[in-house]
Amino acid sequence: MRLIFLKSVSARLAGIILVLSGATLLILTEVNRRAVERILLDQAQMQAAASTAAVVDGLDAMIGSVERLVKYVARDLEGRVLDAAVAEKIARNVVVDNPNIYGCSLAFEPAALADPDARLGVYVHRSASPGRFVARDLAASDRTYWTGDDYRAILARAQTVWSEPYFDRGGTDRNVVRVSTPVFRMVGEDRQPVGVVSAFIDLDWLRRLANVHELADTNFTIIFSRSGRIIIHPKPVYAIAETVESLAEKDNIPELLKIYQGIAARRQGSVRYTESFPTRVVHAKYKPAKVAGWGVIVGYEEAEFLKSQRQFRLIAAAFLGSTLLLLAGIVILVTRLALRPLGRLAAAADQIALRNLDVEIAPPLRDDEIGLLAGSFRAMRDALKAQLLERRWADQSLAHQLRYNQLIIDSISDLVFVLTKALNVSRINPAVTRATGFNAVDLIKSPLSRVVRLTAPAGADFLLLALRERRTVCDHPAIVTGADGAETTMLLSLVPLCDDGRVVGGVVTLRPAPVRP
Amino acid sequence: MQASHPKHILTIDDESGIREILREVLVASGYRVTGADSEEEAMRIIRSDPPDLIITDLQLEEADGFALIAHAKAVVPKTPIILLTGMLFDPAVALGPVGDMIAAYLQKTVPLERVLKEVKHHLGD
Repeated sequence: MRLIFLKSVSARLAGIILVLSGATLLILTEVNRRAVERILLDQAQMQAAASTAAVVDGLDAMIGSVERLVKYVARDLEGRVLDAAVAEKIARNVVVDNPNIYGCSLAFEPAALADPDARLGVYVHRSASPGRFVARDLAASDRTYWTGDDYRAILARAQTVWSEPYFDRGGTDRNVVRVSTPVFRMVGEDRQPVGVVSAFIDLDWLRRLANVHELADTNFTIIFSRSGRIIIHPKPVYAIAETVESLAEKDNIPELLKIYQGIAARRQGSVRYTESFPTRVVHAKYKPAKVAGWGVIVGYEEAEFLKSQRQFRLIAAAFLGSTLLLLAGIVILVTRLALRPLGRLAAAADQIALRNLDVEIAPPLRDDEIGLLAGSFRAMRDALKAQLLERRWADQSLAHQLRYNQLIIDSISDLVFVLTKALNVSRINPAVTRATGFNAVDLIKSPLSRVVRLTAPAGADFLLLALRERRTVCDHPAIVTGADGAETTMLLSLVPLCDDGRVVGGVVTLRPAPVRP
Repeated sequence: MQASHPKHILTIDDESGIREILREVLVASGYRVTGADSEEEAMRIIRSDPPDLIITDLQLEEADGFALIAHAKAVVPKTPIILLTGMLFDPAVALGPVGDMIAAYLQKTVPLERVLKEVKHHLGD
């Protein structure tokens, strides 16, 4: 039954419609998916660009303000007479007044002090306890700030310097980045650096600021120093410990090097790359900060922005499948409903082919092509039935006529011979057998002359000539010889048998010759 | 078509094949058909269930067709009778002896369609 259905027009029609509509819907869905993906990714790019700019602007504002404050303090200190108490107060005020600064230090050369042999260095930073501060004396006997590279380098370069991120061991004991600027004083005719003012920024604080502009759940911000040292990274352990180059190698992301080179050239841009573990496609926007030579990367996972679209795709696929199933059901239902009568007509046609003309063909109840076809089938069956009846009628009529003709011929007492054109016997009536003793088997195909001969004066070809000339012969004397050799004189008559104007044979009748008194 | 009260046609022939074919074609045209193969049965039907039309043969096995027509006319004088015979006569010859008693003379060699047409004509259908 299932195979028969699969061969049916309805199944094939349903299959064709399903394939065509399915392919069309799939193509439309795919085109739509790609268009939506492009739009979503374009939007994501724009959001990422805006987010990157916001992070960089925020970063610039924050570290720029710190740098400006440090420079201001350094400038302010140029003409002051300092002692430890004043220096500590200044440092404390810097920290208290600026939440972005975790600590502040002031350190001076002896030349800047009243006592040429004195040392002055204070370091005030926030405590782990909220609202409290720690003050450290950098001039204490266990401290040697005046020999430290970070101090001497500032004096030597005589300009503001941003440090690499580092762990402030023995100080704040946390990851920090420091901005330092020299303090100048006139020594003789020269304006010489005689001290250093530094501000310390806590990297955790920096991280919080950097993550204010969250683009998405999967977005991340990386900030790295001029040398490529990681300052902020989604994985905190990477801070300080890694550089952009080492991360590019470790995570097999060469695109990071491209970013680093771009930042070094003070360019901004975007890259798209694939991470391996876990596999994900990442879009990264990068932009250099205006202050400190830092670089900022804001990245996001492509899949997150396509998540809603992919969820919609699942819904669309389910909807598409449901639609196709529904369409298939409708097509099968409609076509089977429409074509079912064809099956019945086909069965009826089979019955008619088997000569069963009484097969039931329901009268058409519809005005469509199927109804017309059913009507035609009924008319054809009725016509065949009538034709068959006519044929049976004609056959019985013919048989009836033949039987009656035979009866009539057989009832004649005269001898009747039906002859071919060559005067051979093709048929006799029972009177011949009774008169001669020959039966039909003896005489059929035999010449008439075997049993009948004309008496003189007729010649041997008398009867042949009469047939050719279409003449009838009436009561010509003839001798009939029986099977026992007995001869009987009779009167012969011949009538030519004509069919369609041509002589095809003749009929000879013989009746007893009247006895002459 | 004679759907509700089909007209009754009596066919008389000693050959069952003839009767069967006539029955099929007449029933298909909506008539009620009964058949008889002898004069005795035919007269019984004529008396018990007078037909609207009679179709009879001339050469019956145990009866004379001419006599049968006369007997039937005596019982149902207004019922048209169609003489349907295999004996081939000139219609004028056939109508001579029974011309005043039969409605039509048909040879059995005519098509059934002609028979049906004659039946409908005499039944007013």
